[in-house]
Amino acid sequence: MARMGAEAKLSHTAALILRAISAGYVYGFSVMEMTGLPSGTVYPAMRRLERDGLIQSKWEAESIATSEQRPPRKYYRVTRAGKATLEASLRRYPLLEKMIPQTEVEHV
Amino acid sequence: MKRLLLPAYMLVLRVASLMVPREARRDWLREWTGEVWHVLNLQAYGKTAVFVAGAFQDAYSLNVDLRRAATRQTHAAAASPALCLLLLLLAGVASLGMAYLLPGTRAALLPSPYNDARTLVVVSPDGVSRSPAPSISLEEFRYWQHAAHGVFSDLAFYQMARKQLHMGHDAAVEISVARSSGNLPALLQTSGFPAAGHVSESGPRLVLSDALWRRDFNADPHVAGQVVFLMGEKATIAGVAKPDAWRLPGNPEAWLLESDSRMESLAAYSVGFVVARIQPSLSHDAAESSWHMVVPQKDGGIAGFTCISVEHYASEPFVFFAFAALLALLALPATTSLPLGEYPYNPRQQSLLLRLRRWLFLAAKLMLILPVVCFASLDVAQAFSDTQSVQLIVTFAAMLAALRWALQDQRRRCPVCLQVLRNPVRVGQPSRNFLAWNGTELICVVGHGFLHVPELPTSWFSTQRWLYLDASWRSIFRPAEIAPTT
Repeated sequence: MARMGAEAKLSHTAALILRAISAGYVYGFSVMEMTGLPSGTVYPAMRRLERDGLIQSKWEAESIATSEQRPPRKYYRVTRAGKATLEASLRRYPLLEKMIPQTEVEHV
Repeated sequence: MKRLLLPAYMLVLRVASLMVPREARRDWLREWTGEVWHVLNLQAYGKTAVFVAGAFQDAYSLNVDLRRAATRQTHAAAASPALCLLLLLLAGVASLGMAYLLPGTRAALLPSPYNDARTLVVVSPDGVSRSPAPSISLEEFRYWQHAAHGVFSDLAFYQMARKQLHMGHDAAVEISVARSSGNLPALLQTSGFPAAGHVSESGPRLVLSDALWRRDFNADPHVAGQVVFLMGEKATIAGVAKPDAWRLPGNPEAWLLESDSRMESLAAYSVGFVVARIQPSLSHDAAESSWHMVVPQKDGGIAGFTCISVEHYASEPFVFFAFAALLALLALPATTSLPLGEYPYNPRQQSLLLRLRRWLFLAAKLMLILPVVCFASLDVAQAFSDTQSVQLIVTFAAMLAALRWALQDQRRRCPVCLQVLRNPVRVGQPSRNFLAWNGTELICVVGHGFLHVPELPTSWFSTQRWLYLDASWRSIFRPAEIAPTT
């Protein structure tokens, strides 16, 4: 997996999405809902964050989705490099923390 | 409502997925399918259409990203030092393979077919020994047969000629034949020639080359014993010589082994080659490959002859190569500058191992260039009659070009990762050359540094300079390309 240095600079939009995922909004649509960004922005940005090693995706277990009679979803989590980058981004964009407060619960 | 909309949105997603490269399409479609289901499930019908429209943008950007990544990987592979060495290795193997296929060069690569090839010599008058030509008269040969027992243990004579070979049934071909004294196969001490029997008892014997046997005798396994007509007389075919059995001057397709009485009847002034075995008492020094012989003449004068070992002839192409390569090395400073540039010492970014690796890479390139040029020049020279001159010229030109390339390639590589530097940018103006920096700037895509190449070498900027980039620059380089620097 590619790794980005802790000092890597993110755009405001990328930092916003990374913050949303870090705050527990682990699905694409929930990130959209939280950030107000359209799907055409959120999904490409998440792919690039994943490509850069800042977030990691994982498919939901098939058995869970089947038992609930729905298709499985892909969820995302912030990697260690992503956390370091987010910390640097929060220093750069301090309002992000207030826009998306940290929660303990995963939002779907 | 949901039951009706979901298939319609799935169809739209399938259309959008056509933009996604095949290898990522299944995963992409699966994720969007799951997301659309959940959006619909939240009863956000109005939002769903907008949401699905974003799939086209996502598919397009994924397509662009994957294509860029593939292009970047291709560029990285093409710029890698490993590929450079691999291509040189392949070129070396290809030229070596070609040398083995060509009959003229194969003889230089294979071991000598003659026993004790060092004591087997070709005798030539002084001054012509480097390019053997028929230069010994039959009269001289006859004289040496009786007078040179102290020098030669045995000696044979042969002449090259193009003659018609009649094979019966009005079939005739013109061949290059070596007319020789009957003791030639015994003198060579090789298993490559068939046993010819005693020539004086059974008349002239003819030994066919492998190529002639295959071409004009259809590789007949019962060819031995057949009678043919050559030079106006009957000759019995003694057999077929093995390929690569002949390493002496001339390129005969057959050998006509004459009896001593027949050799006596030939004109005394006719010239040919003399092959001899040096007496063991004269060949103590294993490094010695040529001997000088002085022969008193009838007119009271003295003639000098040089006896060159057959082993020496076999190594001659490589001696020529070494000579031409040395000339190219001497000419190199006249065609390009030798310094590789100024690379400031930076212990954080260039460990001893990395510096050593850079020099080893240059050494590996030079080592691989040698066999490529050597075998390629041998291959090319075979297409010309004057192989030695052509080999010298081709080796010199190719070696000079290859050495220039090796140095230029080394200068265009990052000293840390050895990848070819890219994105050349012109900086400055030629008119301000004496006031400011003017030249070309190249960058290491991994982010190790910049190379500044001056357009006009000046006293303050005479050669290219490397500038290391510190960690603060890393954010502008792609993370996948960031490599360890120590």
